[in-house]
Amino acid sequence: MSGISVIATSTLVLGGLYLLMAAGLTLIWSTLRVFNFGHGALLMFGAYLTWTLLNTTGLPLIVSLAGAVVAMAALGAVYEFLLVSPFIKRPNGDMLVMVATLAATMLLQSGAQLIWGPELKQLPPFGGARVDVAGSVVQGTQLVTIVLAPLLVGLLALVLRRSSIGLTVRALEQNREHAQLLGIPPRRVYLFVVMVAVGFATVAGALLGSMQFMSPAMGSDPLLRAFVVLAFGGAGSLAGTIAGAYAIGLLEAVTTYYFGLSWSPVLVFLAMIVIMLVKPEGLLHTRVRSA
Amino acid sequence: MSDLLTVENLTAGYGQAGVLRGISLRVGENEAVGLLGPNGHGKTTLLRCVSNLHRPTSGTITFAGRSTAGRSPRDLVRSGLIHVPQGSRLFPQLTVEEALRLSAASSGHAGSWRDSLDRVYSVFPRLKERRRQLTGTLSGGERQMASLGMGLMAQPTLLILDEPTLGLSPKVKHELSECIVRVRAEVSSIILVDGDMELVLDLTDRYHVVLHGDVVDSGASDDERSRDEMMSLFLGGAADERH
Ligand SMILES: Nc1ncnc2c1ncn2[C@@H]1O[C@H](COP(=O)(O)OP(=O)(O)OP(=O)(O)O)[C@@H](O)[C@H]1O
Ligand SMILES: [Mg+2]
Repeated sequence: MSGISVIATSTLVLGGLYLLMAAGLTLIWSTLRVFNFGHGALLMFGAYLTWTLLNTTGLPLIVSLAGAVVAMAALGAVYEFLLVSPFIKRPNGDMLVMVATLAATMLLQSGAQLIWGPELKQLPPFGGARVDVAGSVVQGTQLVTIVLAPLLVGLLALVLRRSSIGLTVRALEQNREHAQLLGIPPRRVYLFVVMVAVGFATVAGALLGSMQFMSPAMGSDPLLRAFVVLAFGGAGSLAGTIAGAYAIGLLEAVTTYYFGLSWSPVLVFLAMIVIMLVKPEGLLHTRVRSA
Repeated sequence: MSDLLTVENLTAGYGQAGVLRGISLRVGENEAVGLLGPNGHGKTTLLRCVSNLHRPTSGTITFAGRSTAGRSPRDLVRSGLIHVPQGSRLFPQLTVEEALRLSAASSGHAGSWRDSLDRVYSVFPRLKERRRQLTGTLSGGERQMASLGMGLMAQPTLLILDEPTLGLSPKVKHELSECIVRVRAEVSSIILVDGDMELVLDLTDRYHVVLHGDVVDSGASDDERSRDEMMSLFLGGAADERH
């Protein structure tokens, strides 16, 4: 493979994974005004759950993933019920929720350690399709990631734009108080966004678990990258998130190619610091909204 | 006349600071009630308690024969209590028509939204011209019209208007007050809060003056004498604040 096509492929693969993570985080941020620290652990849990479904039921991988997405969305509802709604309406509720999601990370990681043990596990490749691009071959999970991630996020964008639940989500994120006065139930919107976000994280987890070994900490790196994406894209905007995800993917692909795997994270975070200096409003900030 | 809304001995505040001090009032069916009073004396807080955006410390609120305690704002909206809040920036990324439609849908009137839309456009012809514009780019007067229009889309029994003419020029204010007259014909009961005393008295049947979180004076809005008395009350209230 030539340098260009290696970089292009890993940009699209990494960008796709970060997009799946960051789109959910953005959705949660823009409606709930909290950063979900548990998102990485949820990704991990989704990956393991896919593995279990695959190995206990013998269903095809893609069906196991679909099952895991449904199960994880249900877990997302529990997550919202236990960690978000008891705290969000209190004074300083956003801080309480964020601490609760940190606690959830510990719980999910320890839980995974207990349930699935320390031995290494990996999911098989997602299909055997292959494409030749400029003399190099992209196949299996990489190809699926490149196609599936923008497809799912595009679908989400369409739902937000066109459907009635999408309209209520946008209304709540633009003016929470007035939205309530129109009769929009915040709880239902929160439930919806958390379930969608957890479903996306599960897909990202299964894709990642098929490209590398799974571990209880496998979500930490994607979570950090998704955080950078949010900082870069200006949290709350899906368009910014899409641009941010592929920009970080490109940055990571280029730095890995030229400087190696160990330097890449340093350079990515350095880039984030520069971005924050130049464009401070990018970091977890959207337009000022009325109370 | 039977009461649509009764508020009894309501107290409320933010943290340690008390704002409402045992305020009581009632709104009858087919009645428009005005609330007057200087800035910061608790009018908005009262209205936020009525629509359950803010929890009172004590007292009772009854709407259409049922206590509102513990009910969600959504539940109240669906029973016809519609609150058009003070100074809302609306939904900057939604168009006028999206916002109007949203209000019909989320109040449980999705089926009849087209009829409501026609009525709203006949009350506010300007909104029809602006229907594809984002609410975030509307002028101050248009924004108030959109906000009122959204209130109408929810098919209110009781429509609460908090400072609809705040910050508008006299000319726009006049245009808007004519719209409110037309709004008045569309709904059973109204609570109108506004800084413009003349406008409130012209558009309502009864008025209350709210000072320091309680009603200090009430009367029929067409009583000429009351206007002079109110001026002195206002000035007295403002003088209090200086101490
Ligand atoms: N969210 C809040 N937190 C703390 N204090 C508040 C809050 N909202 C209002 N207040 C205070 O409560 C008091 C009453 O405010 P309120 O908005 O009810 O008055 P108002 O009569 O509607 O005034 P205006 O005519 O200016 O709209 C004011 O002193 C105000 O500063
Ligand atoms: Mg007010």
